[in-house]
Order: sequence, then structure tokens, then C-alpha cells
Amino acid sequence: MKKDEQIIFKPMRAKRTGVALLLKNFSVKAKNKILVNKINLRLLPGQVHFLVGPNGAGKSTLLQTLAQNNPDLKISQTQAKLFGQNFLALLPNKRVREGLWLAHQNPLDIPGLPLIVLARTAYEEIFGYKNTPKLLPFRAYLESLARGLNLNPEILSQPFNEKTSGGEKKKVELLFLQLFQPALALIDEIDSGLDIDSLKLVAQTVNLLKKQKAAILLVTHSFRLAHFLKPDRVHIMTAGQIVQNGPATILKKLEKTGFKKL
Amino acid sequence: MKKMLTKKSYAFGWHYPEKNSAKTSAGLSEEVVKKISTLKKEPAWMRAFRLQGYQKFLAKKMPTWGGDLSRLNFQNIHYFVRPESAPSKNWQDVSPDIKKTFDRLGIPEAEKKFLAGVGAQYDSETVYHNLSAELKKLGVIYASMDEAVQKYPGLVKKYFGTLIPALDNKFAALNSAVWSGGSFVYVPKGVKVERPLQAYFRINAARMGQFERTLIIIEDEAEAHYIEGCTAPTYSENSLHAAVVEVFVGKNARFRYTTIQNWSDNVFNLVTKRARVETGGSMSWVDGNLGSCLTMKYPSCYLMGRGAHGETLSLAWAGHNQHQDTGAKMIHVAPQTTSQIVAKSVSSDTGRTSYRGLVQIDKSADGARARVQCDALLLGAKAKSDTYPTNIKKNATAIIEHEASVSQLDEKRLAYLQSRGLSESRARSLMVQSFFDPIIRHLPMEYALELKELINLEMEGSVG
Repeated sequence: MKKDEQIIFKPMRAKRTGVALLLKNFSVKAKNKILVNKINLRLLPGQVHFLVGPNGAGKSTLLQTLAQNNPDLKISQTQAKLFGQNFLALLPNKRVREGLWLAHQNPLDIPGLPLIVLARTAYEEIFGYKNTPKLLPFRAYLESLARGLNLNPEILSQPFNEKTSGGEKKKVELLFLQLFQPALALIDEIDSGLDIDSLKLVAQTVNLLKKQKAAILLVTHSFRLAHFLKPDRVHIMTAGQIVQNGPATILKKLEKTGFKKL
Repeated sequence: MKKMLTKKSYAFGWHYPEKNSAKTSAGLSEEVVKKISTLKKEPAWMRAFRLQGYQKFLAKKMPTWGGDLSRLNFQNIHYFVRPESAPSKNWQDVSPDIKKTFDRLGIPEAEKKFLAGVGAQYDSETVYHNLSAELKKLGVIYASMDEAVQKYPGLVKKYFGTLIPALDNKFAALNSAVWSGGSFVYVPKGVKVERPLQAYFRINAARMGQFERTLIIIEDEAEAHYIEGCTAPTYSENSLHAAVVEVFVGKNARFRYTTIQNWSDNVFNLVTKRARVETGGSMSWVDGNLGSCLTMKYPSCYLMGRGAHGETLSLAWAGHNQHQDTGAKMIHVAPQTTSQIVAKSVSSDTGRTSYRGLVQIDKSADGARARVQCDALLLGAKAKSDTYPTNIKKNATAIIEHEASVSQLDEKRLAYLQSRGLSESRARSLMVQSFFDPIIRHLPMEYALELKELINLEMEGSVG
């Protein structure tokens, strides 16, 4: 990455100190069902936290609620702070500007919208027009990121996620993480269905963010990623609740015993 | 084509005080038609053409379909205005007011960078015209229609009014009577004009009618691209724009005619555009309709020679109190002819878009293939859209495909875009741009950029 590009990435992390994400008694309800039940989380900059658990545990719901507004869901909490700020009342795009970024589990396609147009428009909105590189250097930079992820650079000109495989869609989410380098990255099951080489790319991306002192909350329900990426903390979530948390070693135990014995 | 602002704050709603050296009084009569011909010092055959056109105009009925023309008052319009400059070949010679108008619109800097020739129209006469020397050497003619009548009568007489005769419709008849200005383009056999030819129209005088007449002849194996853009200032009384464009595409020749019209919302925009395509020839209409209170326009192709191809790529946006009644006509006469119509429309606020199209495959058109795709996007609860497609297939070996859709902006995709840091209005704007993408990608870059900027501003204005 060239020197002037490093300067450009600072705005998303400038003046970010203290706890990246603080949740106390955070709950999410849908009509009559409790999806997330009074969970507590505390992420510091530079930390990688895994959120693991069986299907339907509420992991994705949690991440999506932190990033987006859903009028059908009711949220309650004792505390919910992003770098010391109340953030749940902010519009989704404003949360992005405060450093929060969600890598989607099932990214959509958008016909007629080339990836590069989406990327550059978003970049302009987040960092401002003056801080956005001109089109050609921007494209060249994105192409180098794409190649680093074993993505054909032609994907930049094609309509967003049109005719891409599941694996490619996830790599595009990695591309965005590398481009925007958010201060708090919420990564929703990016490893499911990926081969070993691609898992290594996930690890590389997360380590890149970690080096920049980003905080990362990564949802997974496979244990393979842990071979390439060592989390600072692991939270185990079942039926909407965090039943256990501890250092990376609890994963090995979990791998042997499975979720049912919790 | 410079900054177009949001439809609500019309950027081009300014005008210079009229300094006209000749202007007919309001209303239409045989005397007015004769006066126009006299002022232009026309030969007898053109004078006769006008008078016959006037008779047909009186005889023809108003269309009973399409938009609401009840507020159109023919007697309340000035049919000819000649600005104070004589047509000039050098930009310096053009009168200062007229120069200022076009400088503000960003013409003719574009010429130096990108275009082969520029013609600019300001109230009925073509005030500035130029054609690069190399094209002149190749025998390419790009002149005002008025000039062509004087200088190239043989060519003009051969084609003028043969594709769109006065009796075609009431507004073609009106144009035949009072036409003024417009372009004449002639590309000789085998000549390929690489850079596009551009014209620009502007209506300045209050209650002015614009009746430009364009005639384009592309000989066998020749190629060219013509781009047109229009603006008009805002007035309280209605203005009328009734143009006629006739295009002749020779054997194995290729031609594209690109228009983006952004007339102010008091203009009736009623245009007849037609191309005749010979064996192996290819014609493409790229038709953008953003302005006017009512547009009725259906660029058509008559596919007369074996293997001829015609297409219309139509983009329309109807905002507050606007009605875009647009589409295309493809007439397959010869065998193995192909056609394509792609119509994309957006209606916002109280706007209404209507797709009106005809695909006709005659008995003689063995193996013809036609495809129609019309998509409408509704933004908001008051927006309206309707379609009137007509498909006539008289040959059993021909195929017509027709796809249509009506949609609103997809909430899930909007949410995804907002999670990428885009504001709601920006997300909506990108979705509208991506909706128009199949057409935008065929626009010259400056037009594409301006259109995207316009969409951004429209979306900002409407969210809240």
C-alpha cells in the first residue's frame, strides 16, 4: 500500500480510543420471541473475538442488529456503546462513518451497478470527496486487492455480485474490509463453504485489520478458521444467550464435545 | 451539456431579452407560412411544400390517444423568430448574447476536445456551424437545413418529406409548414466519421415554437453518430416543440442518433423521428426524455432491406406533473431483419410514464426477429406508469419476444447499500442509475455523468 493511500485510510479510525464495542444486557425481541437474551460483550481495539454456536443461536441476528435498523425488532440494553458513543439511534450509514462495518453472510446482487461504482461511491460518502483518490489510481488499487484475494479483477466492472459464486461473494466482502479498514468489523460467517486457501485469505484480512488496531467480532460455526487465526476471546452462544466465554483454548474442548453438551 | 440541476430548480430557467430581427406575430395562417418562406428566401418548390403542409395541418385531426393536449393553443404561439446574428462559421462572429447562452451551456469547448462538428440552434436559425476540415475533404456535409435547401437542392428534394410526409400526423404537417432550422447531414459512400456530430437546440422567446427539421443521409457502407441535446427556459405560457427527423441508412451502413431532451416543464414536446434502413444497414436511436410537461415521441425504423437492423434505447423520467408518452416503432418489411426496443422509465412524485410501442412484421419478413423489453420503476405512491404495446406478426417464421416489468426500489438492496455507508438518498440514486444502466452505458460520457448527477439531485430532493 502506498504512503498516500495509508493517509487516506486514517479518517475511519482517527480519534478512536477506549472500548470499541460495549454491550451490557443487550436483548433483541421479535414479536413474541426472544432472539438475543441479555448478552454482554466488551471488545478492545486490536482484539479478535470469535462468536460461535449452533444454527439459530442468534449470532447473525446480533450482528445485523448492531449494523442495521429493523423496525420489526425491539432492542433493549443497559448499555450499548461504539467507542464510547450511543450508536443504536444512528442511521446505518452514520454507523459506518463512526467506524462500524458489517461483512454480510448473504450479500445481495445489484444488477446494473458495477462493483467499482459501488465501492467508489461508498468511499466518497464515508471519507469525503477530497479524500477520495482519482478513478484510475482507485481502480488500480482495487485491482491489486482483488488479485491478492484470487479474484479476477474483471469483477470490478461487472454488475455487483452478478453471476458470482458463494465463495466469490464472500471474497468481495473481504475486499471491502481491506478497502475500508473499519475500526469495528462485524464479520458474519465468512468462512462457511470456503476452501483452505480462501480461509487463509480470511485470516490474512483479519490480521491486517488487527495490525491497524481494529476490533473484530467474527461469527463462525466451523472450527477450521481457528487453525489459521487465533482469537483473543471466544464467546459461545446458544438459544440467544452467551453461555460461556474464555480464551482460544475453549474452542478445542468445544470441538470435541459439540454444542449440545453445554 | 453542462450542469443540469434538479427538475425542481431548473438550472436553465434564465433567458436573454429578445433581440430579434424578425418575428412573426402570434398565430398560424397562410400569411405566416408565406412570410417564413419569404424571410428565408426559399425556392418555389419549398414554398409550395410548406403551403401544402399547412393545408394538411388544417385537415388533420388531433390525436385521440397519448397525452393531454387540451392546453395547447395553436393561435397563441409565435411560429418564427430570427435572432440578430446571421449564421456564422466562426464563434467570434456570433452575437454576444447568443454566445453567452451557449457558453453557459458549455458549447463549443466540447467541440475542440471531442466532436467533429457543432451546430447550435437558437430560436429558429442555426447561428453557429462548423465542420472540421478533414470531414469537408471526405465530402461529408453538415449544414443547417436552411443552408441545405439553398446549397444542395438536388439532394434535399430527393429525400425531404419522403419518409415523413405532411399527412403522417398533425404535427408533421405543422412542421412541414413552419419548419425552421435543424440539421442536414450527408455522409458519402464508404466514409466513416469517427467522432460524433453534435447539435444543440434552445428555445428562448416566450411562446416560441421550435420546429426544427433534420434530414440525415448515410450512404452505403458509411458510418456516423449524431448527438443532440435540448434545454429551454421556463415560462408560464406553454411552448411547443414539434420536430421532424428523417434518416436514411444505406446498405451496410451504420448510424446512431443520440438525444437527451430536458425541456422545461411548460413545453409540449411532440416529435416524429423515423429511419429507413436498407440491406445490411444498422440504425440505433438512443432517446432520453427528462423534461417537458408532455412528450410524445416514438423513434422508428423501417427495415426495408434484407438483414437490416433497427433499435431504440429509450430512457424516460417523469417527475412532478410530467407525462412521458414514449416508445418506438419497428416495421419489418424485408426478411432476416432484426430489431430491439429497450425502454426504461422512472416516474417520481406525480409523474406518469407511458410506454407506447409497435412491432410489426409483414408477411414478407421471413425469419425476422424482434425483441422488446420495457421496464417501469415507480418511486412513490403517486407515481404512475402504463404500457400500450402492439405486436403484429404476419409471418409464421418470425419471432417476437416481449418482456415487461413494473417495480419499486427493492428495500433489501437499499438496506445493503446503506450498510456500505451510503445515505438513503444516495442508495436510492445508485439503484435508479443501475436501473437505467442498459441505456446509460450507450451515452457519451459527458451525458452519462450529467444524467447521474441529475439523478443524485432528484433523490436528495425527494427523500425526507
